[in-house]
Amino acid sequence: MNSISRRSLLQLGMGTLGYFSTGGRLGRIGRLAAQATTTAPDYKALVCIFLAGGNDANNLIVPLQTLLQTYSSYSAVRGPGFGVDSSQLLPIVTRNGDQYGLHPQLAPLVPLYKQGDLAVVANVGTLFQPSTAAQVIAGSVLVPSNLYSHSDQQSQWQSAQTRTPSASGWGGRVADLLQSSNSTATVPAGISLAGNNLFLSGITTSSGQMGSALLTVDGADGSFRDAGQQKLLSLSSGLSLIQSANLTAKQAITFNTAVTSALSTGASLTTVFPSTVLGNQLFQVAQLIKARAALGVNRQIFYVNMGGFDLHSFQTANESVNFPQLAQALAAFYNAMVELGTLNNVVAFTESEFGRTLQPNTTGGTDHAWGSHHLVLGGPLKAADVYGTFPRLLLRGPDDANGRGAWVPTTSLDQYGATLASWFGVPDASMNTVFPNLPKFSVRNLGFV
Amino acid sequence: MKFNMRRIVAWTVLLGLSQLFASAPDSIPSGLARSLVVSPSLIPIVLPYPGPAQTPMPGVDADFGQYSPALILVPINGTPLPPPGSITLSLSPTNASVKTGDAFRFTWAITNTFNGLTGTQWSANGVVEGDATNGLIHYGNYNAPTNIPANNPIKITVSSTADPTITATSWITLTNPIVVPPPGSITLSISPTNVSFLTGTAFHFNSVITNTFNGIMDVQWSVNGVVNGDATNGLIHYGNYNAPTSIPPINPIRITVASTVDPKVVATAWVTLTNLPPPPPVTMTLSPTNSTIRLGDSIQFSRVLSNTGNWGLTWTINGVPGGNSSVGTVVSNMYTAPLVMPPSQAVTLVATSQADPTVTATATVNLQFPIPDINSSTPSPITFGHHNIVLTGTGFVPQTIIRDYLGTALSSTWLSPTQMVVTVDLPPTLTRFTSFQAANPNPYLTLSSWFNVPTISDGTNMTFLAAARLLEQATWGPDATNIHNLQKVGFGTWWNQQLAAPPSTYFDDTNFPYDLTALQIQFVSNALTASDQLRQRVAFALSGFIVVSGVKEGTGDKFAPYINILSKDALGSYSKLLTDISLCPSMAMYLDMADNDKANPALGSVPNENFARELMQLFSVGPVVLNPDGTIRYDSKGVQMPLYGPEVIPQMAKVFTGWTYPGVPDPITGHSPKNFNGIMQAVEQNHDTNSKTILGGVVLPAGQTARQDLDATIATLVNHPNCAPYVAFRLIQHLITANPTPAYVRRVATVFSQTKGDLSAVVLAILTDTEARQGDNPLYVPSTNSGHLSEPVLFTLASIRGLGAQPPPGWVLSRFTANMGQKLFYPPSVFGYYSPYFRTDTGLISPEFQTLSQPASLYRLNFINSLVYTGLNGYALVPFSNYIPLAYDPPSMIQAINNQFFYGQLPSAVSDVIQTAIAGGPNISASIQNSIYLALSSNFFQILY
Repeated sequence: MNSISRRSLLQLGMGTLGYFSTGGRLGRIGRLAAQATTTAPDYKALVCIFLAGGNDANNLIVPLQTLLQTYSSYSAVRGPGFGVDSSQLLPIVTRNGDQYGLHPQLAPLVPLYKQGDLAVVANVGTLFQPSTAAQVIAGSVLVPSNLYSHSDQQSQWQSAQTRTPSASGWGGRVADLLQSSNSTATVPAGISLAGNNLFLSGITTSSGQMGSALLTVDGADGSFRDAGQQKLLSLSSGLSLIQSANLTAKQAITFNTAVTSALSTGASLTTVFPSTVLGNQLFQVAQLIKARAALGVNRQIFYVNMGGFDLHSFQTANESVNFPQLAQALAAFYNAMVELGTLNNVVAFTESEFGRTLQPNTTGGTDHAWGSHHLVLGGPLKAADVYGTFPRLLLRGPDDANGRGAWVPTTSLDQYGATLASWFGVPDASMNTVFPNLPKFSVRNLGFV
Repeated sequence: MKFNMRRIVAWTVLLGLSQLFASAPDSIPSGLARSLVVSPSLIPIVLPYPGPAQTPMPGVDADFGQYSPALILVPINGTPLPPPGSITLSLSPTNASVKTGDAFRFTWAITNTFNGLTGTQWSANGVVEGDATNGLIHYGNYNAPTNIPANNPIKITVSSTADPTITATSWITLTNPIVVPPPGSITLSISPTNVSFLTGTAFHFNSVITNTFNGIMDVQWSVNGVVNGDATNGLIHYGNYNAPTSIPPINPIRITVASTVDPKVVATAWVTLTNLPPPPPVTMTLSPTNSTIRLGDSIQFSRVLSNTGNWGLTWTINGVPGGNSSVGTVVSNMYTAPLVMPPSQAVTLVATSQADPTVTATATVNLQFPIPDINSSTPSPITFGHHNIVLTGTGFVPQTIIRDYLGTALSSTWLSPTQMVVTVDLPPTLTRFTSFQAANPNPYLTLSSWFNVPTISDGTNMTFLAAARLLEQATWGPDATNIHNLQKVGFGTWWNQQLAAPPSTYFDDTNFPYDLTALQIQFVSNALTASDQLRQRVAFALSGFIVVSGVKEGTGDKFAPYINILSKDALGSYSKLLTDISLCPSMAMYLDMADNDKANPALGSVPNENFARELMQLFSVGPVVLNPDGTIRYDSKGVQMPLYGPEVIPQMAKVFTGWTYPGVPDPITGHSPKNFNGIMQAVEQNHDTNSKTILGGVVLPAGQTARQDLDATIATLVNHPNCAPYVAFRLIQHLITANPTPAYVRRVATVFSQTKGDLSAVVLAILTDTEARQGDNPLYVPSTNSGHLSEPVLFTLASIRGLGAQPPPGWVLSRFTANMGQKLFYPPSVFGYYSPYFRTDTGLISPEFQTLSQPASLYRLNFINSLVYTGLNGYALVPFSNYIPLAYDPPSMIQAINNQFFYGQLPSAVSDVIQTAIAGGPNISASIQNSIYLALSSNFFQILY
């Protein structure tokens, strides 16, 4: 099997795989011209790393010896030949002494955990209201629409709306609220490195989008052609789709012009990023963070996307490709933040549409499930820990929604997001507009940042 | 003393003086004497017997000589017996009842003419003169004993002493004397004493008796004085009274209960019998009693029947029991009108109660002609000229008039409620379709919607605009040659040519072993040169939601089977397409159906859900309930309704177990090595043969083969009501417009349903629909929210075709489209390049906009820049020479651009801008290139209407 094709098996919700498909870092414009920038005292950035396809966090972090369970809970379901052997797991210890093991391919993350800059939030997922597995099975609670569906759960993770379609994402709504912090900005607060996405769609603000390279309008020569093009892009046609396409092109031109200008001065980043889909995107994020002053931004929200997690088959082999890419890209980004002096200004976190069944299928993979564990990275973290409530790894156990080990989330996406948004500066009074389901949960802030 | 001979005889007899008469028999005739010998001990003798004979002579002093000679029976011993009848003895009564201790006097008499002796002897029970046990008897006076003896009745006998053989007997039955209980010693009561109930009723009377006299509590019940009653007045036993079934002459009825000890102690109750009330009459109300419906429609009658539990009705319609096809029928009280108007234009329905056939109700249903609808035409498309065509629809009646698009009534013949033959005479000026409307007559005029039938050009009648638009929708883009050809042959011929064109094929090319370059090259070549343009467009549209991606199937051998199936099946049966796709090794590997085995308890593993889930969610029915018009159905809370629960997925996963690649399977595992030549093969040992409950609750029985399960599942999916609108909506979005009206989707979905998923019919319906063709009218102005974005592959190919550029064989387009968000054959996931519900910044649905990121929008501009100014770096040089003469006259040039790329529909505001650029060019080449760049890079070109 071709591992190169497998690593990006799924990049749901984005149409921009091609940006990164040539293997090189096309057009890292300004990299060499990067300059050292001063850190704005109130600068903050959130980086949403979407693991498309549904990451199997059951293999991301495995309990070794905790108050509730041991490795045998895991190995009873994921036996030899499929599960990760306990001797391979990379041990980490929580603040209360529980021992967990990270997937062996996540070695670059272990030092970050030990430095207190990486945390795990256990069993986060989409919820409409606080729910237990018993309630879900009994049908006594409302659950998110179309659970286990890639497209629906991606939309819900990005929009924090679990039963009705949403036109905006929670990142976009956060950007809406903090627009005033970016009064001098030349680019939007939200920037996607992975094309169109719901996460950064605001109600009042739009996002910028950056590909693998900064772009110009080729052939522009300041002549009649350019003037004509500007007129055509600004013409009021009365036709909605033409207006929308024109707007996209105008935003692209504006964004690329601004970023090209901002990156044209200053020293380049010395941190080396892996040449992977995620590495390339996080490199661009680091570039944009570096250029924050020139861009006039005090708040930035980035969206990056890594596919290939929908591992219905040959999971063991594929995870050995995916997890190193994830860990290496995260470690590089961490190093870049250290280099830029922005480690304490930036929080990166993972999202993924769902976890995967603890129970394997007959093709050596796992199927769509629900709650999943997520990583949070950055200097603002209070402490390295496994936050939230780790599910009991027991089929048909107290956390299992379907008998195959689909965990009913013990922490809602709303709580997870609101904790991040609160650190980012969203006042609690506004939090319910960003996370409409948040009032249903007693804990509004998980306290990890 | 007088000598009484008879007495003497008696005495003699008694005294044994037989010797006295021993010598006398000589005087008795011997015959007589002999006849009188009754016993050897008696001999008859004749004595003088004074006459008259037989008169008893009680006196004394009888003159012996005076007696007539008489036969005297003399005992042998010599005593004479009285002659018969000479002594009489009577006693009466012969039966009597006497109480113990009482005296009783008999009447008796005795006569004796023989010797006058009238002595009698009495005995009781054989005891002379009786005794204390049997009572004393003395000359007819009987004194009963104080106790009843064992022999009771007592025999009283009296006999003559003169002749003891003369006796009389009487029987005395001794009874104990009646002892009257003292008043009050027995009490008796009955309750109730007055009661009234229905005839035929059983009723219990209570009696209470006390007896201090002798403790005997026995009572006797009577009805109207008859012990235990009778049939007339009712029977009573132990107080249980069964009233007669009809009221007797005497009513009330007297019930008495009496003590058997003292029958005078009686308690009385009165029963007043009443007859069962007559059952109340059954009544019926029926509604509505007057209604109006259309032919073929139904109306439900409601009825209320009182005083009966049987609400059943029988119906007549215009007198016909149950009705018939002429007057309509009634089933379950629902009247369904006939399909043809009866002369009366109304029917009378009579409902008769089954409980009481005398109870009826009548309703009048006024009938109106139905609302007609036309669904299809045979043939379709129709060619120009004079034809008879068959229109199929609903609501046709013999009076139906078919009108053409001008409103003119056409000659027509009614065949059935669903078919009419219409004679049409199509003028050659119509180029795309003609329209029919059905009208049903007054007094309730009803009209069908306009029904459009595609028409086949006679070769000269399709407008440039119509031809260009059709090619924009159905091919990889119009160019002058193809537009001209379509105009020349007309739609019908073109359509048939497209159906007949050999499908483009794809093959693995060992020159490109590491990726899909070879297939991308073949794709571009096919798009630019192959004749099966329609098939290619439809296949590409299908690849938008039936996805295999080079991200996983990244070499030609793995991917080619998939696109070959899309090409082969693009205009065929949707069921066959799904079947072929399911058994395609490309798909089997992509979504893990290959070697997906039944659950393995040893490993704790269960079947892989991947293919099962996406087959439903993406390839056939979608995850939520759709209306027949493709719109999403919402529940009362505004939430989409899931089409299936999560429990269906594992069941569907079991369906797709037991398949491996073509080749020789390993005998142990049943798995073959990866092989993409051929179709997947079933290995039954790995198939889950349990019963499965799949979509819609359909149950696949246990024991089916892998293929049987697969076929049944695909049939279930394709026949599911969601499938038709799901597929219709997606294909319309890809080919025509991102936001079709629900009615458009419904029309196409109906064709899908009616043809059981014949994609050629579906595509024809899509292309010929009013909504697709309305832009053929040059005066048509697109509505604000219409159109769709030309997706990168289409946009680039249409630009190249439109400009007449001819890339050499082997040229690859995909690196351009990849930057635009559509790397050919590498959709990022099974969800394809874009979601059918992706929305623009304004909230308008526009799937292809998901590819239009900000960078992509610039890549699109820059693609046109490269194409126009460099011929894509020399690979696709544009032949500009034709434009050179025009470019000297900007109005001519803009006219040419307008015609070629906008089919004459370019808004003047746009053409003015472009014209300015033409005029401002530093040289002719720049003028040409600038103007074409502006035209093709503008969103007026990139958005298709």
